[in-house]
Amino acid sequence: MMVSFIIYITSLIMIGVGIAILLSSKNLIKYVMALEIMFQAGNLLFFITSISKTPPLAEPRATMIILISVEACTLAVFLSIILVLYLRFRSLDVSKLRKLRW
Amino acid sequence: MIAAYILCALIIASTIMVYYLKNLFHALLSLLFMSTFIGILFLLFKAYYVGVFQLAIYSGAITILFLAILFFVKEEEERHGFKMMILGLILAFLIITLAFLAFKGFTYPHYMVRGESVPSILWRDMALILILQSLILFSSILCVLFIVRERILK
Repeated sequence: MMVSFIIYITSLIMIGVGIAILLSSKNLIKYVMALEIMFQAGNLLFFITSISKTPPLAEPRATMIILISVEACTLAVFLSIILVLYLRFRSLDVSKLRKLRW
Repeated sequence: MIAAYILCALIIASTIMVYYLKNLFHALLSLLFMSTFIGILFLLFKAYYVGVFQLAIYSGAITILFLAILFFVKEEEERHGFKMMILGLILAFLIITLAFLAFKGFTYPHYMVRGESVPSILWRDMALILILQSLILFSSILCVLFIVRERILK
């Protein structure tokens, strides 16, 4: 129980750091890194539900396998959008990308 | 279980390093360390399939994707002012507290069966989700090609 509590605190800290990066940074790549951190924190939360019982539950692990690959797809799409934005605007500073606004 | 505590401390440290490092390559390195430590944590608890997926996809594929982007981009990170950083930390603390309070009433669903293997659940109960996942993979490949083709392939 103690180990799962420590992992839970770890994942919460990861979510907190991800939100702090999202709010404090201006770089789009840092945004995607923050999203990845928060994805992995979510995976850790799934993992806690798996290891808290003996014998461990298999359903959260099966869900995690699916989640990991779907998150990889999401990140690939984000990174391709970032690449196109950089080639077009020559900057990844969100405060300079004013043409994207409505 | 001391190894689990050490791994958790290393995960937290490398996450905080992602926040502090301004050079994007260095931030990517510490992100790589973080995902590797998480993969080792999964392997430590005998979640072999998940650990291998974590190491292969997050530590391998995603890091290489980030590297490919960073070869194009030559930028240092700039940050908002001190106020936004304080706001971010306060919001993060609030969310952590709320999530901590919400987790107190958590109960496990009754339909979860113990002691089953991951592949049997994947191919029996989650077969439809697996097919949907393959569709998502395929559509994301098409999406990336569609986004990039205008600027790169011309």
